[in-house]
Amino acid sequence: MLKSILIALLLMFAMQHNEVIADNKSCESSSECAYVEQWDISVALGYGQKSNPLQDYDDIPLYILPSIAYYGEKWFFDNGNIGYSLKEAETFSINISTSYSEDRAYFYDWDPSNLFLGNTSANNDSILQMPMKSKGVIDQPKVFNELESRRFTLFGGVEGFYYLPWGFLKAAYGHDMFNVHNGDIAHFSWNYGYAINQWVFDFTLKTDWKSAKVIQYYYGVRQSENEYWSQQYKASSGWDSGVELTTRYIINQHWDALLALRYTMFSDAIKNSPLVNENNSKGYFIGMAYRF
Amino acid sequence: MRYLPAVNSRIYKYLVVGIFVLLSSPFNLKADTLEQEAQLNAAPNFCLTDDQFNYCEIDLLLTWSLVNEELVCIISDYQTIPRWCSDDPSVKSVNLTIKTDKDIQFVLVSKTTNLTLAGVKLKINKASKQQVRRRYRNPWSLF
Repeated sequence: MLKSILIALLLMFAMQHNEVIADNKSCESSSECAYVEQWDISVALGYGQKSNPLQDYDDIPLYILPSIAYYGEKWFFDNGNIGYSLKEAETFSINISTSYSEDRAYFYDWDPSNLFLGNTSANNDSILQMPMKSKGVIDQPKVFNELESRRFTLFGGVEGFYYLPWGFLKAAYGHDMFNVHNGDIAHFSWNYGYAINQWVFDFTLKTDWKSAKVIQYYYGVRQSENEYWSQQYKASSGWDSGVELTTRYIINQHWDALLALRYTMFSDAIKNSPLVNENNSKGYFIGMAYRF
Repeated sequence: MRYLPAVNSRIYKYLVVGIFVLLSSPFNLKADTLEQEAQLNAAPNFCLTDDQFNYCEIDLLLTWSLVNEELVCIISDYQTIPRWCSDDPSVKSVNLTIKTDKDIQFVLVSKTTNLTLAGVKLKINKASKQQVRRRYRNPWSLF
């Protein structure tokens, strides 16, 4: 299937579609603007995969990807997040907004980040691994009973954008709004969007700070899961870093060909978790997107 | 005799209405006559501008009809269009290329007497702007 999608995309590129985009400044060709008081709904169908760093958990397949946004004069709803713009100037914006981390998505298919993904299979009854040697001492095997629930939460906080000729910078801070773990997150990123004819590229370099409470909640081992590892692993705060590329080929007002790539390098705090056996997560999606 | 006052009242009403009709008729006739005397039409008579182009650039056709054939002139409040005058009484139209962002009032005047015969306005309307604002999430951030 992946091969056929790739061939279709290559053919499309080779054909050099002649349709001219009516207005290059319109929001159809830019992911950085939205029409006010108008729903922006898109659905992408295709194939993708997100690697799962949890040991014995399968990678997460991806077939359908939604994009839902509504921007009012000040309020906005964008892919599950709600925000209110306190200040929108030519060179900067300040919002209060919600956000969520992807950490829970590795544990549950029905996390909002995975809402439209295919099923993942995981052996939750027990996660087995050979004993590890550490500092000359043979550690206890990483055998876990069924993992306890890791609840979803939203972070509420403030975010700022600073617009430059070469993209924009974003800084955000959020605190757990629902007392799930009472943790905090911070986010810094640089985003650069570029368009060549019908090709639109969005490139992001990002780093996310997660407090110890966030990492301990998702990657810490509960006593019921493994008493030994619950004592051995105590999370600290850490910085994840990542790079993202979203490429669109605008076919017409409604149809885009879409290619999205994501790479996240986990912080040492997460990498050290006994539940994790990958130091990164990679994801890709390739497909066709329809904008309603 | 008991109904006399009522009859008088009805007659009085008819009289008032009749007088009003008589008085107003000449004005109506006069208005109809004026309208029939001369007419100036513009095609198209309005133009929509959009966000990309804030002005209208159109070929405008002005046509007129007169009761008596005579030489006429077209004048307007659009400065770049000079006064245009016909040299042949049988000519009843003129084509103009217009580039404007404002309404233009055209007036048909008699070439000989300079009296105003008719007028028409080209309306310029701006298409309502679709307001946009910054989007704060990547459209495909759910992935």
